Amino acid sequence: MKQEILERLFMDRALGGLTPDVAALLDAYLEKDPEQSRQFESIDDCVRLAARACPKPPALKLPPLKLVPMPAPRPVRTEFRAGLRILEMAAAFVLGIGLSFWGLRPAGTATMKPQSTFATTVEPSSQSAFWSMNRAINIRSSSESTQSRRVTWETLMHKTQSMN
Amino acid sequence: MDDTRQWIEALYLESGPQLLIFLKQRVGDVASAEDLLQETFAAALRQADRLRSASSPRAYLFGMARNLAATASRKAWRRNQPLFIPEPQQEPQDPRLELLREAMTRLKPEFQEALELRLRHELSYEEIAEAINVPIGTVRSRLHHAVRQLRQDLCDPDRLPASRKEDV
Repeated sequence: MKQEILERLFMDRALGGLTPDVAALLDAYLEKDPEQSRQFESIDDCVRLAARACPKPPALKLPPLKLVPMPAPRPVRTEFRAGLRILEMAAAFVLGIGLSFWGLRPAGTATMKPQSTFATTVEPSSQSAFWSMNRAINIRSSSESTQSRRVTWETLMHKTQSMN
Repeated sequence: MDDTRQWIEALYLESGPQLLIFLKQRVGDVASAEDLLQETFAAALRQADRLRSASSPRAYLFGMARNLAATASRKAWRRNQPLFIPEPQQEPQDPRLELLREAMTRLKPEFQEALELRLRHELSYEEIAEAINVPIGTVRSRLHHAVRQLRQDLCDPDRLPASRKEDV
């Protein structure tokens, strides 16, 4: 058996950490080996000395036990947990909304670099966009032109009246 | 509920004296130790289910007392106080014993703790593991380290500080 393993066994024996069967086996082994027996004696002596160095202090008078009644479960705790749950759900909701907005934004609006061919390949957005200043001006001017046509438009009745 | 209280009271009578000594050693004075003992058993009543399921209720109580004492010591800024407080000597002076006492105070706190629980409070390896919440292999290893270091210090007093060597 390796010396290291034996040393651990000796220490466990000296500290009382071996089962009676193992202790008996080890004792029988030590009886046959005086060299190992001396080694064990040295360890055992050290442990006995350590036990003397930390003796049991004299017993203290035990005060009477005062067991307080069991505290009722605190409702604050459950309220806090419920609040935490609501907060979690709200945070998840806000995160979900934010992510879906981010996901649904027009592709490339933020990241696409302006290209030199942009003007030739893409129609001016001012004409096709839902709202733009140019479009507003166009609508306004077209409505103005309609209005002016209305002013100058003459019905047949008006014509005959004027002819008369 | 009444059964639980009776069981806790029986545990108090059985393990209370040992726990009181343990706590007194940790916090220094008897009054604080008594307060902590009451706290330990009040906590035990609250955690009766866990205490019942523990492999050793005594070891579980030691673990609770240890944690409460650690919290109390932290509050009192006694963090650096050594765990092993040598008791006043009543037996004749023995140079080797003195040497060993000195060596014990220089052990790592976790080694001191394991050795103290084994030798002074006579907890088994399993109980120490439950009390300090570490695997049993760790307890064994800590005890081995402690004994090995004590033996080295006994065999080689030069390892001790100069002041102690002069005494020896």
